[in-house]
This record gives sequence, C-alpha cells and structure tokens, in this order.
Amino acid sequence: MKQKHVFILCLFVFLLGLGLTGYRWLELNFPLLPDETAPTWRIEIQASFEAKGAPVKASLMLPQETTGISILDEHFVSRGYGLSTEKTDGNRRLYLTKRQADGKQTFWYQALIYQNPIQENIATIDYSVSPRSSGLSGIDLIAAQEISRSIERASADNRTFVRLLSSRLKNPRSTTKESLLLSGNKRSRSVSKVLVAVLRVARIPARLVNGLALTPDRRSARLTSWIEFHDEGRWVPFNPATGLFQKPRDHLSWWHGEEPLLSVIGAVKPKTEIAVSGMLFSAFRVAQKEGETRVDPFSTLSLSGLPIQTQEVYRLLLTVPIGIFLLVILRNVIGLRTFGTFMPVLIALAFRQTDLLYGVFLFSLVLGVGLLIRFYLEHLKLLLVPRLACIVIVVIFLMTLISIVSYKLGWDRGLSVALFPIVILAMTIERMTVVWDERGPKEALIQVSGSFFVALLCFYAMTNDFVEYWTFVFPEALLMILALTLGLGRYTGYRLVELPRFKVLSGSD
Amino acid sequence: MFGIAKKIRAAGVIGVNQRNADYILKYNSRRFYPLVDDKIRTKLLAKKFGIAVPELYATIEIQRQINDLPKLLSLHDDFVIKPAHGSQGEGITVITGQTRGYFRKSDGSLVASEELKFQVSNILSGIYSLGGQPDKAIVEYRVKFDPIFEHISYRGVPDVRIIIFMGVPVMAMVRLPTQESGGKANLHQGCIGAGVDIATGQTLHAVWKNSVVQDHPDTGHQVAGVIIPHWDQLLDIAARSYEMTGLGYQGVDLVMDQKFGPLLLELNARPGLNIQIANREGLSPRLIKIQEKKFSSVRERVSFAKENFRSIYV
Repeated sequence: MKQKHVFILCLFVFLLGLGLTGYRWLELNFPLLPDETAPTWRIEIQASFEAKGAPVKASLMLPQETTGISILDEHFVSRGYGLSTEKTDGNRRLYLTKRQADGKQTFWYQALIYQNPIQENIATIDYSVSPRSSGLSGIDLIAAQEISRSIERASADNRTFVRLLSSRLKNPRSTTKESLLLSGNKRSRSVSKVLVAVLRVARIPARLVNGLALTPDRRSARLTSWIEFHDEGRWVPFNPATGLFQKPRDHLSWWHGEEPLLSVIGAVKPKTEIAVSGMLFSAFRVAQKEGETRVDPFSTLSLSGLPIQTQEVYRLLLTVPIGIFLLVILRNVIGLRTFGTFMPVLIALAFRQTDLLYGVFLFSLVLGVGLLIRFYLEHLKLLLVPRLACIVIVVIFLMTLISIVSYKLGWDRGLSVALFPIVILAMTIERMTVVWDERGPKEALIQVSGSFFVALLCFYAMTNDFVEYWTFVFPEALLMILALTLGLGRYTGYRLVELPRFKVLSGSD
Repeated sequence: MFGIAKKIRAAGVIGVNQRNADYILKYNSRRFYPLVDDKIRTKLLAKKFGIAVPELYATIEIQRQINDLPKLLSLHDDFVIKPAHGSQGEGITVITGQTRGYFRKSDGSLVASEELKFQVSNILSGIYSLGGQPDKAIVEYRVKFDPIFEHISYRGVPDVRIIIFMGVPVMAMVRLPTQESGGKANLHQGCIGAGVDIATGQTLHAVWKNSVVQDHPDTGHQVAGVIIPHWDQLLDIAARSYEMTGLGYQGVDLVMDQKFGPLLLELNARPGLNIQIANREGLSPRLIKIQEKKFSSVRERVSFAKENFRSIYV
C-alpha cells in the first residue's frame, strides 16, 4: 500500500518536473545545452531634425514584439525631451516632445532584437479587420476600379488576385491604366503602395509593411517594403519583388502604413540613419531576457531575475541536491560508509571553492594536524564539549596559519583554506578519533577514505558544467531528482557491499 | 554480481534496505524506541514483566556524581559500566576485580579510578549515544557466564541474540567474544557468531568476520554442537519481550548467568543481519511464514517457532 502511494507520488513529482522543464524549454526557449547560441540583432537609429524655436513633437516608429520577435533590450538617448511610447493602429510609436527647441536636435534609439527562426512566419489570427479607404481619387480611382474589375473576373480568390495584380503592375505597358497609377515610377515601394491601393479598392484589406533587412554589420541600412493582405482571418505577407506569399528572408517587419519612420511637427529636415549588426548571443541569455520583457508568470520565476550575488549563491546551492542524490545512491545502493551523513557533500562544496588538488591537500593537512592534537588532548581527559570546542579553535588557528604562511610564500591558493566548514572539520576529527580508539585505525582510515571518495564523486558531479547549467536554468528539473530520491527511499534491494558479505549464503561455496 | 544477488535472494537473505523499509519502518513504531534505546527503562520494564535482568547498582546522571564514583564502586568487587544509550557495544567497561585502589579490566589490565571517572564523564557527554545527546551511565552486576561457554569464548561474556518478529522467535545466534573483539560480544568488533537451532538450542557452525569457521580462533575448541542450557526459558523470555515493548521486529540479547540463570541484557530495535550468515539461512521465508499467522499466546508463538524454524543444518 505504501509502495503504491510512494510510486504514485514519485511519478507525479517526476512528471511535474518534466513538464515544467519541458515548458521552459519548448515554450520559453531556454536551451537544453549550455553553449547554444541564438541570432540576435542590434538595431541603432540615429534620428535628427532641425528645430526652429517652436514646440516640437517628433514621432519615431519602433519595432514591436509580435510572434517570433522579441525585443530583449532597448534604450533611448535624448536630451531634454519628454518621452512616451504608444501603440496605435498596430504600430508602436515613440513620441518626443519639447516646449522649445532650437538648432539641430539628435537622439538615439537602440534595440536588441531576437527573431525566432521557427515562429517567424506564423501570423496570428485576427478577424477584426475591415476594408479601408484606398486614398485614391479622380482618374486614379477610376483606373484602379477598372483594373480591379478585370482582375476579379480572371481570379479565383484573394491570393490569385494579388498575384495577377502584382504581375500586371510589374510589367506595365506605357499607355495602360497601370502605368498611369504608377506614374512611371517602378521602385518597389511604389509598386507596394499601388498594390495596397488597388486591393483596398477591390475591398480586400491590405497594408504596407516597412521592413529592415537583417544583415550582419550594415551601416546606413535601407528600409524595404512589402505588403500584407487579409485572407481567411490572417494577415498574409506578399513580396512583390519575388511574387511569393512570404515576407523577405531575414527581414524585420517594423511598422505598417505609409507614415515615414520619423515625422516631426514644429521642425524641419527629419533625417534617420539606421545601423544593423548581428551578434550571437548565448541562447540562455536570450531566453532569460525574453522572459523579463514578456509577462509570463513562469518565466519571471527564473533565477536570473535575482541580483547577481544572490544568483551566485543559488548557482552553488542548486547543485547540492545533485550531490545529495549521489550520496543517497552511494550509501543506500552501493553501501559506502562515511563520517556523518552529509559531510562529504559539504566537503565537496568546499573543494569547489578551493579547487580540487589544493582542497584535498589542505583538507588532509588540517585533518592530520587536527588528529595529532586531538590525540594529545586525549591524555588531558577533557570533557566532551570543551574538548570539541578546543578542536574547533585549533582548527581555526591552523587555517589562519596556513593562510598566512602560504601567502607569505607567494602561494595565494592557501588562502582558500578559510572556506572549509570548520565545525564539520572539527566533528570529523572527533568522530575519527573515537572510531580510531574503539575500532582501530583501520576502520577509521576506511571511513575517512570512504568519505573522501564520496566527496570526490560529489565534487565531480556538482562542478560538471552541464549539471551546473541545468540546475540553474531548469531548477524545476530538481523535482525529478526529488522523485528519484523518494523512489530510492523505498528501494529494498541489496546494497552492493552486501553481495560479498552474504555470498556464503548463495550456496555456491 | 547480479548472479550473487539472484542466488542470495533465492536463499531469502534480507539486506539492510529491506530490513529498514519492510520491517523496522513498518512494524517498529518510533514511540516505542525509547523503551529499548534507554537501558535503564528497559531494565525497569523487564522487572515489571517479571523478567530477570542484571542487577542495577547505580546510575550516574550528572558530572558532579562522578566524584562519588569511587565510594559507589567500593561496594562491589566487580561490575560493568556502560552508557544507557550506547549502541553496538561501544563504551562498555567490564571490571572483574579491584587491587590496591586499581581496577582490573576484563582484559587483565589495571586502570586507576581517574580513568574510570573520565570514561563515565565521556559517557555522560554523550559520545556513545546516537546523535551525541547527553547520556547516563549505568553500573550493573557483572554476569558470570555459564561454564558451558568457557571453552569457546575469550574473556568477556558470550550472549544469545534472538530475533523476534511479532513475538515469535525467528532466528538465534550466540556471540562469542574473541581476543580481537576485546572481550565484547559484538560482531562488528570481531567476535564470533554461531547460529543456534531454534528447535533444540544447539549451536551450528560459526561465522567470524563474514566467513564460516569451525573452531574458536583463540581457544581452538569446536563451536558447533553445544547445547545451550535453559533454551526453552530463553525462548519464553524472548517471546514475552514483544508484549513488553510493542516492537514488532526486535533483537533480544540474553546472557546465561551461573547463579541467576537467563538474564535479559538488552533489546535492540534495529538488530543486525549477520545472524543470517551465522545460521546460513535467510530471514525472509521465516518472516513471511509469521506474517501469514495470528497467535493468541506466548506459548503458541514459541511452539510455532520450534516446529517451523528447525535449522536445516542440524
């Protein structure tokens, strides 16, 4: 009955851990391995205009978070301007305002953008779209209506309509209605504009998309444009340059509409300069930064939200369960004997700080000298608690001495001896002498080397890069460790050391 | 490796994990532990149930009392000092006599009373108790063991360990001190364990340090084939200790005194597993047999054990 209960609990805790880990991995994009990198882009805009002593209001289009695009970090630098951001018409704008400005005004905007390559082309469903005015009038409107009517007859659905229209606009004969609309201008921006206008005349919701090519290290990057039309509840991108229903590769969709990147009221000569640079960010940092800007209650529970020093503490603490789990296996499945239940894990923690070789050396040194002193104290017949206190004091003295001497000798590694758990050391010395007296030096040495061996294994487990990364990034994975430990709590099989012990009973003498 | 595991499982051997998980945690309620962990309480309890124990001369509870120790000890020629919460035979001092202010230990060496005081003080500080809790020291009657064991033990006092499950004697062994064990009857410290047939009280082959031996390593006498006197009485005391403590799975340690007969030495809530080696039989089949039964009296439990747990080596 208890067996079943424990099994169900184990399974539940394990699946919970697995589920949360999976969620963090798949949904929040925390990478499973420490060295995965993700493409991130730094976009820098230098905007300027000339003010004429009047109130100034400038608006700058900002990139915004959509499916597959995350803004990891953004900064504004402007002198003396009031800043506010606002979301309208599916665009995000930065408003800069000042009561009075004179002369050339410059400000900077910088953003760190992560574009998820998988989600890039997935559009969200949006039924709340209605056709809008084309903005055409007079002869332009009539020409557009005629074109739309003739294409409508030849097309089956919105997609074929767009494709036909695009091919007709791209190869206009000089006297046709198309050339009238384009007014002899074949630049892609204009083609896109006309596409949007004609689609709107045909009562198909459409919009112009202004985008930026994400290429590594590009000073004064140029903006490009394509269109999006509404079909079956989603915005479908269409690139007139390629004729594909896809936005251009490696392009950031920045803002919609015909508004310029920077518009000013009360000033002249608005100018923008865009620079793009690509960088390979550690994927974990992307995921953690993504988590900070996103309002996901689970990802804000990441440890990376803590102050750096506290993070360091947890980086250390979270590896302890791994060491303890190993200890449980070594004690209950293998059957090794150690001094004190968790002493080896604490020693391993200390080794982490001192480095293994120095750690083992310093530990043996303190233990050895401590033992000698303890054997001397034996003759004085001191009471237990004062005796233990004496050992603690002696251990502290020893550590101080080692630090001072090693520092004088220019061996600053010796300083790290201060990181050993003093009381644990003192208790180990005391326990060891008792075992030494009661059961002989052999048993004492067996136990101390057993503890050392376990501490070594724990050290290797706890300092493993992968373990450290996992426990820190996926702390919920420790639930799986908890489940396994719970399961081991009901392990009733033999310990490995019992096999030779009971071998006589196997009937094969 | 797995081959051995398979074979010893087939032999019904119980490992530490299984003993803890399936028997101790299941049948031994933690609230009964103090009854057996504190040897003073065990003594008082045994007296209440009419079970004979080595006479308690004195208990020392605080450091100050240590100064009165020489006066206390002068009343008795020989005695045993042990911690009330000791385990695995640690911290026990056996004094066999006194000469000119010195005490003679069981190994023949002489100690001054200062040394005994220090030993008692150590006991009080809790050095031998679980978790280092402050402890009490017991001074009690030194058992003069039955001459039957004279040839097969080296100094010290041999004792009989019987495992009791739900009040039924399951398996027994006699522990014979050796030179290596320093006169202590503890398998961990190097004494000999010889299995005892539950049905007849006859000793089987012996085990020393996990291997089977025929003779006592110090005296050279054969260990097997000795009939333990008052065997039925021993079984009866062991079976009754279940009512005494309420622990389903326990080890009962008994000694055979020349003058007083069988005495209850102590009880153990976590008895060791070497008894299986001493008997060359696993505990599991016997325990399962008991789990399937219900008993109404001590007599019934003892006779069930004698009928069912006859050793295959007799």
